[in-house]
Amino acid sequence: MPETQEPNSTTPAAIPGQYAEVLTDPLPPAASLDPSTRIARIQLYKEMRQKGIFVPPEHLRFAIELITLDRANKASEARKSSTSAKKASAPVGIPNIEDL
Amino acid sequence: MPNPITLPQVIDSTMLVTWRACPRKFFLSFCHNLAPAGQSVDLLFGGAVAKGLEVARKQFFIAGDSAQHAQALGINAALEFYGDFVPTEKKMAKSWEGLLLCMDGYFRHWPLATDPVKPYKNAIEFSFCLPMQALHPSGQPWMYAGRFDMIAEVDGLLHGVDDKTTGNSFSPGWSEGWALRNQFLGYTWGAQQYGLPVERMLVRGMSVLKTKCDYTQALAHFPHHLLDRWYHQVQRDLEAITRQWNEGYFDYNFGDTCSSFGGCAFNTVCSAGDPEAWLSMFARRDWDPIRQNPEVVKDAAA
Repeated sequence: MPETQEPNSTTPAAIPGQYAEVLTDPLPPAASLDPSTRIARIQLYKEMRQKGIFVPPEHLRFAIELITLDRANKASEARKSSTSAKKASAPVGIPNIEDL
Repeated sequence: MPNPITLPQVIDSTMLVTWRACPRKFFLSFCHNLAPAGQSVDLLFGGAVAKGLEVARKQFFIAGDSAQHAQALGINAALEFYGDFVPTEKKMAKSWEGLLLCMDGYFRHWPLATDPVKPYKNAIEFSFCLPMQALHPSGQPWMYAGRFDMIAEVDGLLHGVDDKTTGNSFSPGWSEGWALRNQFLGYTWGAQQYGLPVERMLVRGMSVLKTKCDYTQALAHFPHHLLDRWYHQVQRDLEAITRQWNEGYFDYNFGDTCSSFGGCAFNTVCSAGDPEAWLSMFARRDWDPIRQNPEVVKDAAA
């Protein structure tokens, strides 16, 4: 059973069900999660730390994968929107001087 | 209720360097105990990293835990310290997520198990507080305080170790920028007062950017003549602080200090016709040089 585990604690306490489930279930491939699920899982790890629940090494690694994917996703979206903004602001319909 | 105005008897490098930059800023920061309202993400992030490294090092070097588990405990401690703070978009590199990446990268770059930098006699988070010759207005000696992240043995020589985070890329001169740093001169002097033959500082840098974290380290050497020069200067500064306190007037800089780093937080106070009226706009804080994270903001601005 997963436990809270702090450097100075001697008696680990049981942890709430939803977090225990996350820590005992097998980890899915990070890339298989959709962006909103990735963000939700990162948020869950944040909550666990705020409640003093130890996030074990394999979950830290998983969180890092999720964050890396999330950042790559955001960068890709930013590039796309920047490209469409450039297209939208590019001058259109400039007449050929020979047509004038 | 207005803050009581007191001149602390214990001074550290941050306070002294503030004094040198602007006595008035020192007066407002450390006698009035005022700080800009709102949490500083830079201080929070740096404090979280310091807490994480302390926990990991103690767990590995003192408690004898495995490196992997000690590092995980360190990362957990850093993340807990950071809490639920959400930085502004401009400072997103120093978010909770950025802290996790930064700590993980640190241990990949300098794994505890193979790091040649090991603490000397468990001196992790080593504090000192020593009397100076100069007298505080109370008639007691001024006390100079500091806190090493670690004192370590490197290639048979004792070094002070300091971990630094920056939100910028490492400049070509980053490694050379520490030779006259008051913080490190004071640390080296302090260690020597305890009979520890520390003459060098090892500075480990973490550059925390939106897209990546970089790591580098630098060495700085502080020979005896330089420490003597530093000590002499500190005495002069402390005597000047005592003098200005006794006069009841702290000088203004009216120069670069007012405009550097995006402008001094106290510009509104220093330019106001009635400075006292502006003091309530600031948060009250408690600055304790001996604490790992010296600043605690006690309450928000009115």
